[in-house]
Amino acid sequence: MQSTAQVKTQKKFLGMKSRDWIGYLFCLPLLIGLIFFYYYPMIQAFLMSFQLTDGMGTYTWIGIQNYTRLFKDATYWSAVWNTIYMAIFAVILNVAVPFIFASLINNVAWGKNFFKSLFFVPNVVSVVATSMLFKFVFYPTNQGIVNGFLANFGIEPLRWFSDPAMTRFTVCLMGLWSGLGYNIIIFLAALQNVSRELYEAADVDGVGPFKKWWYITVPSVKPIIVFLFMMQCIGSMKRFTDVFVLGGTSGNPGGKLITAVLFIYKNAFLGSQMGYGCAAAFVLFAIILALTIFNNVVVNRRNDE
Amino acid sequence: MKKKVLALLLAAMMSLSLVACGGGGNSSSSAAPVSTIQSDSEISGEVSIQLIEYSTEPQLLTATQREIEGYRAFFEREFGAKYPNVKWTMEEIPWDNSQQKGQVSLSTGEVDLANTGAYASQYWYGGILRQIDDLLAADTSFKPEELYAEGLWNNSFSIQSYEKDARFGLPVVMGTMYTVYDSQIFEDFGAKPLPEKPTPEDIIEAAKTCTGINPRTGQQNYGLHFLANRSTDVFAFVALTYYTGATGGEGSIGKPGEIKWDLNNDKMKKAFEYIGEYVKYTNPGFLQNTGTENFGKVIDLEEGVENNIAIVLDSANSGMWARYLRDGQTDTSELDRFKCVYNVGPNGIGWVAVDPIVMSAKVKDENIQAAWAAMKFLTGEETQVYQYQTVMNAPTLKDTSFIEENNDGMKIAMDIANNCQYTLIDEANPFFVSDIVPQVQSYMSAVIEGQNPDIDSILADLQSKAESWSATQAQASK
Repeated sequence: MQSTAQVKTQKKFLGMKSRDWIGYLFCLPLLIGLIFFYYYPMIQAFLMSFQLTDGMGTYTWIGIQNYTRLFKDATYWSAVWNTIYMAIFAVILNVAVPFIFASLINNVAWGKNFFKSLFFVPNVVSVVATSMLFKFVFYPTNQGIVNGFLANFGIEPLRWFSDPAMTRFTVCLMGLWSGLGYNIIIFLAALQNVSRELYEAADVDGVGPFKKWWYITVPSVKPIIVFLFMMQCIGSMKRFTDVFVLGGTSGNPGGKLITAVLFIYKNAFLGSQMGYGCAAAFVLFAIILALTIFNNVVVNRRNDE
Repeated sequence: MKKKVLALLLAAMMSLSLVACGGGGNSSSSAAPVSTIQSDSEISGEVSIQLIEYSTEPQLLTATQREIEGYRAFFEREFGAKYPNVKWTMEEIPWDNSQQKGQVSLSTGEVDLANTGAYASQYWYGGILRQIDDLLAADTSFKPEELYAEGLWNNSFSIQSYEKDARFGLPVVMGTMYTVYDSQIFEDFGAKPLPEKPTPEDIIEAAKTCTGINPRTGQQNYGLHFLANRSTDVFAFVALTYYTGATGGEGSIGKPGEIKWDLNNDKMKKAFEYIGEYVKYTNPGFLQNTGTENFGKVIDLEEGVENNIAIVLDSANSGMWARYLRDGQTDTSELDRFKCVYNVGPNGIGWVAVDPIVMSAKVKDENIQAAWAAMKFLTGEETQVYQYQTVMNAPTLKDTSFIEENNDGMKIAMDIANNCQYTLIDEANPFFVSDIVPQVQSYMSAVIEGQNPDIDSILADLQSKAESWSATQAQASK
């Protein structure tokens, strides 16, 4: 430990000690990266949202016209609604199902690592490859894998991706296949921290397995559930690749697969209306921010109670 | 407190300096106009070339199972011999994000020449390409109108401005699209073979006849398929607009604020009606572009599932030709069964994609001659014949004598290229991509669901949006 004399004699520059300067210098590369690749593009995109631009050569200031046009654009709000609709299913599926699977895996006597690996494998497959694969898995006749399986039980083929009424849910199922393993791993890590003594005390009281799970396990991993819930919300609001591969920019069938980010991509990169796309992006940002704040407020309020 | 202030100041200063440096503006060409072209032996300089998935390296081509030396070896041998004093470099990039990569490479001058997709016009209007009219005028020995397919050379937006008053590219590869039908299915259902240049009515009648349970195979067959979910185009619809004469209006894509849109008319309505009829005979996986995996193949019923699609519009048929080459050009069963005919537009035309070679506006004066020599070579007859024979690229040449006798599809595609035209209904038109294409695709989806969308109100809405879009463009250009 330094003596008082030693502390007093340390030189300072601009009020900071040398070790503080070293700390800031270590942060500098990351800071530069953040500024160049994160904050600068954000600022430029915000400026472009007030301009008429194709993102390449011409930039003309038009004030809030992009925003007023956007608020009257039914396609955009339809896209936002599709996004929210799929997000609701995706969040429920991608939090509840992995948690249930993780709870089951956590209780197996052997093969935990095997199951962890098995469920994680789909996570390493790219979204594009998954979407193309699932076009055949969910092919709308008995030639599709799922319909072929269901035919064994006398079930007529379902139109999965081709039916506007069920295409969004089908996309969420496909997303569940991809994301299941990753969330299982996170839940499994959280389940390791649940105190064994609580389960032992429950055993002494004669509590059944389901009640143990509901009254001990679930409350114990609640912070992780909340975290994954929020991450899923944010991730689901940015859905793009899978719906683009499946439905193109029209979001077919019936425009049900057009999402907010797909709308942005279509206008900014395909329609050469970068300014309009940027405006749509910032409105989406505001929606996601509002959702995140709302989630935080609700969670904090529950914690206080 | 001081530390926080200092850190914030540092970040803010860097942010502001970068913002101040940001913003757009046209980059102007640094090269002076050229009035004379040197003879081949005199040409010297350096040129850097960027190509997109050009098979530049030695490899085994999966489609044909042939070993190829790679385009780089060919270029080194042929171009190198002709221009020994020119130093060159060549890089190959994938199609993924090629538009953005090309934009960066050309705008910074990192490459002198680049092969691009049909979005070259965006580069031109972004000010990153060099105009080549001075080079064309100075090079009296180079006759592009005799070399390249007439329709492409005169009309494609991938190599010239929308007003056709400036050229910036030479065409090198085109997308082939024509109609292919399964003559076996036609025979099974007793349908008349399609004429060489079918009308939409011919297509619809044949598709209707060939939809149902095939009496020979017992399989469900579908009459028609075409590309439904491409984000920038619906080629079948574009061909229909050529047939009905629906041009979209008057004006140039280069002056969007001055376009006089005419979308709400009987010709456009007819095009919608036709495509609405088309989709009634498509397969269940049509909207996701699946179900044609066996089209073009002759499969023994006992070994697998036969093709069940009678007609495919916008087909390139490259898979069939590749298999023919792979099997030593002896088995013609697929070529005999799957017949190629034209599109439905006038003279059998449809939309033709053209990929050009373009020159960066940043090319240095001392390298212009070398770059021009390389540009001509990359798009010349030698290269195009070589690429056709090794990797089956579709040439943009007028002369088709080197095409094999039984490659009907390629001959049709090159004839289409000689006659092709372009209108406002084109993926070079931003409004077409952002609004018309999704509307057509939505209409198709609604018809498949058994709905009967009101075409008049769809067209009225499109007309209104188009006029509003042009008004915004006009305001921006003031």
